[in-house]
Amino acid sequence: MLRLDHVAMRYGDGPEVLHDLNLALPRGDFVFLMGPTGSGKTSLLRLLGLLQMPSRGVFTLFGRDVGRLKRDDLTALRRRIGMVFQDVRLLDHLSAFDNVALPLRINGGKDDQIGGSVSEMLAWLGLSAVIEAKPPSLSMGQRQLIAAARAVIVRPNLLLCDEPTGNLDGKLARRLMHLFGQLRKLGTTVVVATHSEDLVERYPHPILRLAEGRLKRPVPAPAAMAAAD
Amino acid sequence: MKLSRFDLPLDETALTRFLPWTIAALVYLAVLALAVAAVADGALRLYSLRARLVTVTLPAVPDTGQSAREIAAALGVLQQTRGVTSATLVPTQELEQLVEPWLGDVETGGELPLPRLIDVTLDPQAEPDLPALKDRLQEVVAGVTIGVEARSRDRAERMAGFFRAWGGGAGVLALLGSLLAVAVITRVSLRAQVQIVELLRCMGAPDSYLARQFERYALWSGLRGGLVGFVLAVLTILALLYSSREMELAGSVQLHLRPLDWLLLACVPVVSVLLVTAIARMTAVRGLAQLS
Repeated sequence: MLRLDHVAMRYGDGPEVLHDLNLALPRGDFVFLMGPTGSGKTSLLRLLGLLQMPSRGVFTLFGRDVGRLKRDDLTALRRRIGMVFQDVRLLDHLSAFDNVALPLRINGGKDDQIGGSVSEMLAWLGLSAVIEAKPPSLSMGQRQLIAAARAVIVRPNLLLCDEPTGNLDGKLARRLMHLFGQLRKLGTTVVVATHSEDLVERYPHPILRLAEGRLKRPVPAPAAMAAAD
Repeated sequence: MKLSRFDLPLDETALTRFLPWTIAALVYLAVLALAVAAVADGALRLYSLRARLVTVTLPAVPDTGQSAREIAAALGVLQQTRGVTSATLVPTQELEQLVEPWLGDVETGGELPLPRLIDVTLDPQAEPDLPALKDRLQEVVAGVTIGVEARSRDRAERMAGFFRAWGGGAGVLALLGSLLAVAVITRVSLRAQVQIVELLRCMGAPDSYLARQFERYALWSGLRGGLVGFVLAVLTILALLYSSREMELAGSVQLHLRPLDWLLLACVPVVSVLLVTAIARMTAVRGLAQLS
């Protein structure tokens, strides 16, 4: 479903920030992405999320060579990807409800269907009370949950998360990881970038380690830590 | 739950909040200026319908008999000319009053020969050929002249012509101004929201979806601004027309707007809204292409 063959990436005319990446993630896979600050985790997520194009190599996503895609095709592929940003990136002028509804609106969903799905999702995350609240009036944890809800509301084929549990307490983090696990069972490939050793120890998923823009070989998580989804 | 109107915060920034008022002001000016042009055009039409006057001058001759024959011949030619509605000899007394400032209070008694004047009224619809008329008159009276400069194009008529041109130009300029304002505001607000645009693109929003946001906001602003500007302009026009009647500013020509003029003025906000919407979309599409 996702394959990188000797892929490199740079921002504009700058130096390469990712070098010679080789990776294959099948449908329904769940991996953690770890590495020190500045190692290129966010850049890799931007590449996988089609926000940046590879400067070298071949990036194949959903069976399509990304480097050869036209603009409209890229736009269509992006609709199959959910992203949770480290800095949340909610739209402050929209309510929690409208923020979560955004991808559905972009996908051309009907208002009544959107309303049902979004309300259900926010209720499941325990956010029914703040459905009409705007992000500036919410806690960082609530905002992070809303950002996650926005990413998963369309049941994406690929879910990319940058420190999704960074501002959540243990209970909410477990709830969110459970949600990601459920999506994975439905066939979504999940990539979670994190610094949290606790998180990777708790969930038995392979770990991709990134250092100075280079990917080390995936390390399977210990089976004993299968506390699970 | 009702969904938000716009994904982009278009009605929440100072710049874009200013847009409906900008459109209102420019539609107000455009309607007012075009109303001035329409009133002036109406006045010009009335002036053009008024008969035109020319003066035929026969050179002075000492022989009263010859003078009478020439006058009769000239009147005969004039009365047979198509487009001449009347030809009247100016009485001798009136002529003497005309020369009084130069010659003093005198009665010529035929001793001082004066040129003979014939006031001629022309039908403007018939568009008489004055040079040809002059040629025919010269066949019967040598040295006859036609005072074409006497055509009734008075100051008010020239003013009306000026206001028609000025009003039309100012109206078009105001409309162009509203388009320019929309283009600038769209471009600036697009640049100010680059991060949100990137976020929406990341969710799979095509440029057409994003451009539609600007288009809809311009439509919404245009409708609000256009309506406010038009209503205020109509009130101002009615007040000005009423005042002009009260003060008899227009002289012999009554200032008014025909039903067709009102209809055309009502088209101004509609045209403005359509153009503003189209310009917003075009600017957004171009801006988004440059942001890629």
